[in-house]
Amino acid sequence: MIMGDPREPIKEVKLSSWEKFSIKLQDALAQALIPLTFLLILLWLRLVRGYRIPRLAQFRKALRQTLSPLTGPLLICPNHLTMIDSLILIWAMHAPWKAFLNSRAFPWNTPERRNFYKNFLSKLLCYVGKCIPVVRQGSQEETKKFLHKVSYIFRRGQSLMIFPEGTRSRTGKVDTENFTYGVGRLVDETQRTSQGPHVLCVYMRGMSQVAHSFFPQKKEKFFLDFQLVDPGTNLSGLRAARDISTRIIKTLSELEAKYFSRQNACWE
Amino acid sequence: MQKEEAMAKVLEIIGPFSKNQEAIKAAAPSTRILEDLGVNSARLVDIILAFEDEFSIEVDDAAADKIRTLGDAVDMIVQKTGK
Repeated sequence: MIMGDPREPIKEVKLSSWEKFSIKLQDALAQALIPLTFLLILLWLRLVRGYRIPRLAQFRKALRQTLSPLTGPLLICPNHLTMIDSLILIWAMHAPWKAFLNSRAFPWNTPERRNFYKNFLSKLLCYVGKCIPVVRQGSQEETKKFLHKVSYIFRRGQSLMIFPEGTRSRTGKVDTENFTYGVGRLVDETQRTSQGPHVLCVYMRGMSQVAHSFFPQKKEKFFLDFQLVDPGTNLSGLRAARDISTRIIKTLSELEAKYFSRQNACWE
Repeated sequence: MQKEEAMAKVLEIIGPFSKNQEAIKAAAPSTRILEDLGVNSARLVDIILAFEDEFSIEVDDAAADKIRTLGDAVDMIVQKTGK
């Protein structure tokens, strides 16, 4: 199972003082380097790749209006089509200066260790990009360690981005059949041990994107939409994880349907 | 519950999740659920929950982790149903 079995609650005691300090240190360094990292990323995304986000200001304003009344941790659940989705989303969601002033606006990311931790440079980029690696189908011990770290990040009131489908969609659409229940476990466990996160589903799609790919094609324009999801459930354990995950995927699927209905309307 | 009866119900539950219906027809206790039946690992949770509902049992972490083959599932169910 990708995220192990949801029945064992996370206990914060499992994270050592050194590990907590490491997370705080990574957070502080990543925040301090934002003027450099965000500048480089934005230059690459906008000038080298030629990406554009029409109505970016409106999207950010709507997001700000939705999120500003909410306190506590935030779990961002986007759909997943390319390997740089999280970079584009970080660019889209907040202005760089906001991320610099408020660490909650610079979410933690959860890349798959085998894909992104291959050499020193990629490890360094992941470090300054506030990444904590996840091991897909890893051992129970690795899964628990990852969950402890996420739980600690949420206790600090920060935000985290995780792709609830578990992998890039092979169909080009939100995968409503083969998604994992890892994100549901995350939400359920953190709700039990501390203030659970608010859950924000974000649908992003390059307007010419058909199926999954490594990068979006050059000069791509991106569509964005979002919706909050109520993460509450009366169920427990595996059933809670399934319930929460299903609602998140369903919301993403609805946002996608909205996108395609608009697209079709444009052609009629 | 007899092993044969448990096996029939296990196959009934796993069948819809299997991408290899030929392997379902030729299923034996040594048949591996993920590799031979082509069950998506993400769906193991659904299968375990279906076992719990069907047989009115609780499957804990340790028991769930030991299930690799149809025989493992049947043995666990027979043991937990206490016959």
